[in-house]
Amino acid sequence: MTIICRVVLLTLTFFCLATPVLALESAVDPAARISELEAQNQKLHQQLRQARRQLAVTRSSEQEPGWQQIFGGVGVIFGLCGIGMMISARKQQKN
Amino acid sequence: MHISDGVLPTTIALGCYAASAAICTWSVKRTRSEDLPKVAVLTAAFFVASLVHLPFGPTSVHLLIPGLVGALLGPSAFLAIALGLVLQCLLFQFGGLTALGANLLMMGLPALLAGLVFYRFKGTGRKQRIWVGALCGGGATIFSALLLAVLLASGGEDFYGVAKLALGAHIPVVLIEAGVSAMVVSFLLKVKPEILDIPFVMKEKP
Repeated sequence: MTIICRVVLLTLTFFCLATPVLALESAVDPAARISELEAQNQKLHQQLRQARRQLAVTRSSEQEPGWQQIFGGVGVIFGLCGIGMMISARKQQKN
Repeated sequence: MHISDGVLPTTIALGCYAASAAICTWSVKRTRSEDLPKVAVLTAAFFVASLVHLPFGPTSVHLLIPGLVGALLGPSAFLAIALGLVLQCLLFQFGGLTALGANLLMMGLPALLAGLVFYRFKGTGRKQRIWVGALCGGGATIFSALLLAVLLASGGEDFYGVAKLALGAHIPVVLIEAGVSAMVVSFLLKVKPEILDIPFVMKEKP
């Protein structure tokens, strides 16, 4: 009986002592947790920004004109010039 | 220095289209058929020049050369720039199709002005021609930055803010343009000086 009593008392005291400690721990925990989460958030944010930057770089490099466009454009210009010269030559021939 | 789609109000965009179409017609009429190869070469140069990116500090700038095109082509410059800009717009997605008229005015008017200035003040001396060429190259870029500010101001932006921004961003371009124009003019003076004697006539020749 006494043993049971002692055990009960001990457990009671243990819990009485433990609860404030646990409460204390949980009171301390949020701040640390928040800072930890914030650090994590910042890290993720940085990674996201990096990914965005890479995406923008890829996009701009995709939009950059290639050799086909450049030479195609130059060809169009000279072709139009040729048509203009042809028209003027015909006019001169008629005259 | 390009105006994108949807920045300008519709009326302004349409007005710019009409104005640039009118100037383009005038420019086509002023173009002599014997100048056509020169026009084509300078159009191609203008078309490609914007792809030449020069690293400058943290960013890179690209050439615009409206001043050089104007100085070498005179009245035909607007035609050359119109053709070059249409192709840039279609192939490189520089600026939008709806803003093409405004972009044309922005590049073409400085070119015409540069042509007029070069024709009036080029004189006969070699040094003077080089200096006037540099002035045309730099001045045309400044003028087009100002025109950009005017056009954006019509879309509701603050004129002085945009003007300051555009001019500030283009200070290196202005310097490089002036240098490139001076170099091209001095080179042409050496190898083919008659190419610089383009008449800037307002009237139709008989």
